[in-house]
Amino acid sequence: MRQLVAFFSLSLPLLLPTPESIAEPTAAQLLPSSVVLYADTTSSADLLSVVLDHPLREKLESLPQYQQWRKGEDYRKLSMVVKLMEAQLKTPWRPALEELGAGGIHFALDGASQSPVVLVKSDDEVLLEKAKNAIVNLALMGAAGNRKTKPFKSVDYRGVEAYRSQKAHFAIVDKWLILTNSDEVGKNIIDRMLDGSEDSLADDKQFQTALANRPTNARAWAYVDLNTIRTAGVAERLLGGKSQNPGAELILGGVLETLHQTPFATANLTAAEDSVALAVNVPHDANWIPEKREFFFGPEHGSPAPPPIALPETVLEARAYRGVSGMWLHGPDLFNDEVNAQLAKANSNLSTLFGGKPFAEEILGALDGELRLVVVREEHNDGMIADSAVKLPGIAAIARLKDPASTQRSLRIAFQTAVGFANLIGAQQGRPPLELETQRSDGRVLLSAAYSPEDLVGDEQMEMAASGAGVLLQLSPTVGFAEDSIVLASTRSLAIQVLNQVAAGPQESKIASTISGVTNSALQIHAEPLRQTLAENRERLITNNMLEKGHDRAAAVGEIDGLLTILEFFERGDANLTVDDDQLELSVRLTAAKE
Amino acid sequence: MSVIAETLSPAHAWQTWRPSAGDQWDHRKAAHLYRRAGFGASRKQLDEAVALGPQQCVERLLDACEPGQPDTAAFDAEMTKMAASLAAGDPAGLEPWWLYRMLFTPAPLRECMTLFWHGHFASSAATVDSAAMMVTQNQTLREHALGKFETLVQAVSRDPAMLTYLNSTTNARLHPNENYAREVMELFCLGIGNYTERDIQEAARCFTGWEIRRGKFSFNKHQHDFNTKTIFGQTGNFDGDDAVRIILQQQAAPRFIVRKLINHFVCDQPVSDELIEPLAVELRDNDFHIQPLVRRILTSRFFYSSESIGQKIRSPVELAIGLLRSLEGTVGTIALAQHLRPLGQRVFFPPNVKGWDGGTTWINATTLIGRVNLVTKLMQNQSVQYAGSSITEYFDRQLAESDEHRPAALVESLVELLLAVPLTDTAQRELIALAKHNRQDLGQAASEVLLTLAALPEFQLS
Amino acid sequence: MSFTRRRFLATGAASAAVVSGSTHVPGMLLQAAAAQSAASSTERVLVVVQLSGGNDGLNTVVPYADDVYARNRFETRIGAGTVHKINDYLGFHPAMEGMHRLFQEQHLSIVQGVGYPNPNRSHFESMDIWHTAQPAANRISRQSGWLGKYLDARSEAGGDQSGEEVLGVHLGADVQPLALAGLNVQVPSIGSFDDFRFDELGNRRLEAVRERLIAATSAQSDALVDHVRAAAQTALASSRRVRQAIHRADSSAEYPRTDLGKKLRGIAQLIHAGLATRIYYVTLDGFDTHSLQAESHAGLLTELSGAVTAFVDDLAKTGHSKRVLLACFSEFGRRVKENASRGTDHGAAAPMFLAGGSLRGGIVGKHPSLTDLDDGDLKFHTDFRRVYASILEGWLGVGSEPILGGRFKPMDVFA
Repeated sequence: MRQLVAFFSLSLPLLLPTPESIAEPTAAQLLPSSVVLYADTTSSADLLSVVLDHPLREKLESLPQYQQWRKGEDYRKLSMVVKLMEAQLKTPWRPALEELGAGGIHFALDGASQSPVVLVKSDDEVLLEKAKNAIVNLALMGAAGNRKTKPFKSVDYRGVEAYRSQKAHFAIVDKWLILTNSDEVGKNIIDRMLDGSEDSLADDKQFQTALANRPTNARAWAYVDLNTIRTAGVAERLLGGKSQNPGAELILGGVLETLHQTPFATANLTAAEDSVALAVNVPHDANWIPEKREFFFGPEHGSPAPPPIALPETVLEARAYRGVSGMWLHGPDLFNDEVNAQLAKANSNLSTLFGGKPFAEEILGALDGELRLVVVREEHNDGMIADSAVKLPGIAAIARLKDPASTQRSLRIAFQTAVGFANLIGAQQGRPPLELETQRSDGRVLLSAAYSPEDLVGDEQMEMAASGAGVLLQLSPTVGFAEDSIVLASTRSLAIQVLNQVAAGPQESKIASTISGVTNSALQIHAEPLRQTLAENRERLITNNMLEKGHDRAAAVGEIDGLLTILEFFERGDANLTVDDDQLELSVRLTAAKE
Repeated sequence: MSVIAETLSPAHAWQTWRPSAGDQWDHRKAAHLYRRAGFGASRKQLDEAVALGPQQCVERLLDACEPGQPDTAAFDAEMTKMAASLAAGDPAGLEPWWLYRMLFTPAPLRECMTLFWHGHFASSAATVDSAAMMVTQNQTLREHALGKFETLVQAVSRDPAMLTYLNSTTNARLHPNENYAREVMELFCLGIGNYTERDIQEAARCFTGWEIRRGKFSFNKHQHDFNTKTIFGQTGNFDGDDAVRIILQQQAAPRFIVRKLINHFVCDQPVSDELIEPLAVELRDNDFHIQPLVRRILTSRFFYSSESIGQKIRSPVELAIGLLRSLEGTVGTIALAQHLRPLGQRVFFPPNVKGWDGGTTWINATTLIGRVNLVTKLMQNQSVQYAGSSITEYFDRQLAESDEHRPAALVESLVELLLAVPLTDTAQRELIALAKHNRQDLGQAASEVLLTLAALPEFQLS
Repeated sequence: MSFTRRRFLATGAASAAVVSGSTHVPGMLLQAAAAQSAASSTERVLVVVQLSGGNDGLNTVVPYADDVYARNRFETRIGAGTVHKINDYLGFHPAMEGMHRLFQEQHLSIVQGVGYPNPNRSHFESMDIWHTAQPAANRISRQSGWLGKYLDARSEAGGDQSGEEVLGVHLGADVQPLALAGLNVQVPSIGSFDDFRFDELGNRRLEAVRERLIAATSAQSDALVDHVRAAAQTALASSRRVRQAIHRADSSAEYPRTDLGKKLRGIAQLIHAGLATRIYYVTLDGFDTHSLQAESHAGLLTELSGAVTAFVDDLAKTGHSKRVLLACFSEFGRRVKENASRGTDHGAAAPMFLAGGSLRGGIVGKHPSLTDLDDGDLKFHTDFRRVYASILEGWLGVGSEPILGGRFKPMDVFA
């Protein structure tokens, strides 16, 4: 929470902006072409207003955690600096910031010298000068406090007064404030200002291509030259070699492959009244994807994620196209030996669980790539269940069978075998067995296993609760089939809901993507059901917080309730991976709750 | 040296210790009492203790253990609530819960005793594999921690975790299971050599029909052997409670318990039979009431003699909880439980039915390194707070309230707080030199001294 | 001093408590540790590799030429064309190229048909039986393991060891095997070598003070403090040795980057560093291959063979192989007939491996008959306690009877 408040405070300066004058050079024209990372904010000052005047801000500030932070040492230090600055500038901080960064704030990383550069363009040269003096004075005061030597010295370069310390150099030329740690880069920029631009970042063809696609409504925009970075051999682990992590490969394998090939990446931040979105785009080519990673985008390279199921009370829904079996079987090409040995062990164990059916080939292989996972808040009406300390949300995985006629039956048998194993273990721990029930109607088959509380003999229910197994009463693991769909759900009622919804046909999906293409993967999190699920498990969360942090109860309650309150401010979060003929986009959007 | 000899004669050892000019009640003595009976005390608590006097101090520790005491009752209610939310999970989740309890309890002596009984009536969650059962056992041990031993043994005889651990969840008339009957004599009440195999077989028949069904004790009258049994020469139609009663009538029983408690509170060295006898007689006369025995031990001349002070090796849990309580430390106990694992004492997971051997077996090269590193982590991890601040700031505040700022005094006060035995001259010189190096910043000096102190062999003693 | 006090406390004699001055010569400790380190480099070492889950012996040392084998193993059969042939009847699993070479170099012995009477087919029970060497005992009375008893006996007998030197090490984050449980000696489990060193304090000056204080000796003497001090000094010295060993070894032998490879590499480094540890124990889990055995078993045997081969080769290069014996066992073998899930179920007798530079090599005992079965399982002809007796008497040099609770005839396996 404190971090969140701090983030909002710290991010203010970065979000400052205004339009550029035509005649004057752009930051890209001042920067050398060896820049590998460039980011700027150039939209109008209303972004500042979006954050500062947003209703959310008031809510956040009313939180006890924020009030606590305001009483703390960090806030005192921050406000002292702000007051000192205001005294020096003789202007309140907000208009000062708006003026100072009116021409945009630009950040760059120079690949040749590996130095960071910040260029701030102001509207008001007088104010800029004052700001410079204020910084100088503050630094001097700080140094005096620490009894250290003079923090920096001033030097003259081609008539420009520049300041140099051990860690940073800065100078002011016209309306520009230049800040870098490299002597050479600083001089280079000043040279361009005095002599005119040549071989600048703006002259770079690749940069021009990237810039041309900059969305007009972007509040902030960034560009990374991946070609150069790859050539330099940095980030090799991320961009090449065999993976050690099947989970990461499943979620991101295709993206990693693209990053391994693509020349550059851009990112943009957009904001609307009720939402903020960040999108990362990279050029993409279907031919870059080798066969071993075909599982990711599908055989035709454009296999879409299935439509959302969109049940009421959905906490989380993830949808994707992934040929999991294909990934598993390409293990030797994708993973190192250690992982492959583990996969082989897992395959053997899972096959045992599934009654001897080869897991990767036959069980996973029976599924096509359309996968969905939903987590749904569920009502547990049974009194016994409601007393349990942990209230589990329902979880369901939905997939499509390639050939339902030939695989349905063997999957049902596999499910029965798995329940049999669970009962064997349960019997050793003195639990009553899960009972299987089959229901067939309208071409649907439901096979569920439950403790069927009404049938539990005598005090069995109480005893299960007493022995800590009460939480299991909430489960009635179910596998369901309808046409070519298969659902595996933690409860029977959820399985039924899912099958109903699937039968009702595709639901409308709000796609947050800025490009029109195929949605490969999508994730939605709904804040209110999430909040309610957490609230139902509040006691467990408080206990965990006390043990995790050594808090007393009051402090733990404060933190957990603070988290629950913050969730009230949001409606949902979305993440999408979209692919079209020539690009790949990963977008994340956060939507605030409606008033 | 002859003073020690007199202190330890059976006639004198258990007399109430009275401070004298040559043997005062001071911070070191108070710290000794709290280390053994309350996981350590902060500087402030020691100041109060010194003002209170030794006997009042023991009474205060005992009073806090009364369930009706408001602070204790409120804390217990909170802990019960937490336990309920953990009972459905992995038993390993209980370790942090108990450590939390030890760290913050207003009744530390009761936790000390509960830990003692946990080692005595050892059951491991590794076998029992149910958090709910382990919590129930833990609460049972706590409830009877200072009560009557016979009641405690009877409760343990019905304890689901214990019987599960000993493979004794069923006990049929025709096939009496001897596991529990054996352990109750060998490990819980008498000690090896004080019973015959015949006594075990007969006692096993008394426990027939005592079953655990779905995590609960139940008496199956169809499986109980209602015929007469003969244990230790007594004959009758006995049940399990009778068996416990008869076992505790044996001469060896009070001696066995007294020996173990002396070993727990007073010293690691074995103590002679002559020293045991007076307390054994007293325990039997007191109807096996544990509280008066603990009071007697904690107020005795033996307890405050040099044969006791510094004559135990701290267990890993005592080391960690003691250090934190002495410095008013708060820590996330989930991480603490992780750090304690390699040191040889996982609560709820004793190594076998005998519990932890303790004493010198706590220490070998690996565990010693682990102990020093544990203290380093507690001192250096930002998330560990000492009265709400970093260790350096904590000492800054402590020192601001003190008028004594010489480096030598600083070292002395830390030694008094944390060490059971005096430093060697070499160590004293080194530590004072260390403190002098940071003369300008005594908070920093104190935390550096502390880090070094923790590596000293002396720090491992209680 | 400590003796005086103990006797005094024990007798309660009030008179004449003669407390002597310090008889302790503390400087000796470190010298002793150093001397011991030199001496220990000639001591024999045993490394136990436990294969958890029940290794399929028939597919490890394969009777490829036996028709009965072929008839019982349809899906899981290892073909004659792929085995590393030992003779015209037996061959190593194709993944065991390395161990096959060790066998040819006489650095590996196969002890055939190892088991015990009335085989138990529960993982836990059978593993306990192998750990305690007490097939008849029940779970409660199995308090200590065969190696734990050996270490107990050794620490009782030997006044030469300061009790603090680590005589046995279990390497791994898993639960410590019962085999190492002693009544008196506690064996540490080391999750990783990184844990076996004093944490840095971020301050050299402090660290120097800390080291000086640990190494410092004291004129004041007290039995308990001395005990801890000795452990501290051992810890300081041996953690340095471990660090140096790990540091030094960075450039040396190549090990497979598997879990077992890393563990055996660490053990080789410690042996080379001259640690007094005599027993090392590691486990490799996953042998419970009920389904799709072929792939996973091949993976496990690749890991086993690769790591063991690298280990033995490494020790040969550093000149320690003659004093190191590696013994490899599993709690049981698997049934002769495979099941319907392309896997195998719990069985009984199976081969054990011994590896090192002091072995006669070759095959010890005959391959059990594939037709004369005990309820579908291979019959054992060599009680595992005979192998233990060979190790205890022929390698570790102690009497085996008190440890094994009976007389088991050692076998002629050492050169």
